[in-house]
Amino acid sequence: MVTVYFTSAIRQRTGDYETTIDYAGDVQGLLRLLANRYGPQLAEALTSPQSGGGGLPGYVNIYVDGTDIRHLQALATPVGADATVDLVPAVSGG
Amino acid sequence: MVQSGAPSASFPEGLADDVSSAPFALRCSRCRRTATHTLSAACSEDFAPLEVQLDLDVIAAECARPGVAAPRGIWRYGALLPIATTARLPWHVGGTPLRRAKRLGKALGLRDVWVKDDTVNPTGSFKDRPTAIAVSRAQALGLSSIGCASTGNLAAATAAAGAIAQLPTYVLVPSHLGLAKLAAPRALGARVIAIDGTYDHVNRIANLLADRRGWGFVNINLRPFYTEGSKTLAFEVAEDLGWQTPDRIILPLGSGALLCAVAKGFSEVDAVGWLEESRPTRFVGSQPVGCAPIVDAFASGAEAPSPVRNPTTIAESLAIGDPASGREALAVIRGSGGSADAPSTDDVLEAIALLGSTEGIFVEPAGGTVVATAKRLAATGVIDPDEKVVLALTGSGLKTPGVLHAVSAPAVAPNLRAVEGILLANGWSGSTPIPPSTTQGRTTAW
Repeated sequence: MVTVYFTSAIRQRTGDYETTIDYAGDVQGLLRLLANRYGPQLAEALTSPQSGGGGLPGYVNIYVDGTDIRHLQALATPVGADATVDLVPAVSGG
Repeated sequence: MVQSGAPSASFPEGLADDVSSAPFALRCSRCRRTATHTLSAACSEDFAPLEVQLDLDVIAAECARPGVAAPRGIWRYGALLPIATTARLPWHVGGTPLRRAKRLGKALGLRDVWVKDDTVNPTGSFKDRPTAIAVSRAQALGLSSIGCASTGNLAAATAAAGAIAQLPTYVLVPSHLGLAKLAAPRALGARVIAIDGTYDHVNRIANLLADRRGWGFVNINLRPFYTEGSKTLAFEVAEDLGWQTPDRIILPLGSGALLCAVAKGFSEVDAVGWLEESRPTRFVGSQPVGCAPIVDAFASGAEAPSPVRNPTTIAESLAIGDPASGREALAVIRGSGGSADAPSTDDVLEAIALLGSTEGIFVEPAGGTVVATAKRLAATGVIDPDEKVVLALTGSGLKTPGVLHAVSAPAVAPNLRAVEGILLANGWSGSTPIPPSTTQGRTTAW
């Protein structure tokens, strides 16, 4: 099972701190499943071109097994069946 | 008119926690919606940054510049801070010197250089400013614990603030930090968690932890208030220049938040009518080679930085590969007609020595980065020799002695002859030695 952790404003939208999904594929596909579960507005906010451009989230960082997908294959990054995915607002730290 | 920080009955109800706080709202910087959650840094609709928006019209009408009797320090500017007097942390932070740096200026070929010496804050860096405001906000919200994700300086600042507030304090840092930066938060009573990874790993974990525990992490879910603290550096610069802003200010870039906060600070003192004259300031950001995502984006014309996966720099306080305020910092730099620069490690080390030997200020590599950028921009004519330039020195060199190992001195035998030999070998003859024939008493040959 893929475990997805939500935090901060994203958790406020989902109402869940975490969820598990029976899935293996890529990040884009995982976001589609999350949209089914939490509503299309969530996926739209996560990947809005206005917030980042190029289909990559601008105000949200997505990590697969601890690595930022911008260092991997962006939305095409593979998500294994036992992967951990973190969705974290980009504006924090420093 | 009332003095800064004094209560004003005309502040609109519902905007502020208390009549003695500046009237403010917490809004999304993009969609302008008012935040529905008080402990958050991002809008729950579009996940864009939340920011504190002051009611500057009210402040302009009700609040004069701070009076001469108002103590120096960040609370001097309470009229422009979103913290009620009852929640203010009793910690003397800020009020640091802005010094004319004539000798440094002469070395750089510039006639009007000033240094803002924030190394003299209580824990040795500017991070005491944002932390004081964020922890005050935590107190106002009645939070049970505080914390931060840090490259070192913020860890000490948060630990000190937690000790003063008597709140359990959790600081998450990369495990590779230098001894001084790991030891300080422990000595100040914080619970230190050293994570085997980069700052960006630390930041991700801290995000998840703070939210699940309901703790107030100063640079995460208290971040809109944290950045309000950094703008006090701008207030002090403007006041100490005679209520005017400089032609140019050079700041280190880690997350980019400081540069944005200083721009907000200058804008606010202008908007409330505290400046003698409104004049533009060019913002220059400096990052070291090895971790310069904002500088790289500036050079390429990109709207936002591309993250650096493994930062490699001696400036560990600037080793943030994914700068949270990078997009906003780029907009400020470009909008001001400023620039961004990335000096090399050698440039940084030389600049630390230049600043130390001309002005007697010992800075960590972030400060050396700023001075190195000033030198590079002066040499290439980007800075006009007559410009009024401020250099932000944000952290003490006493925190990072390790970077200067390369210039450490070899041990010398404990006798005068050996020491005189070192003077001779190095050509160090600052004054004429006293010849034996003129000394009083008995002299024997060496």
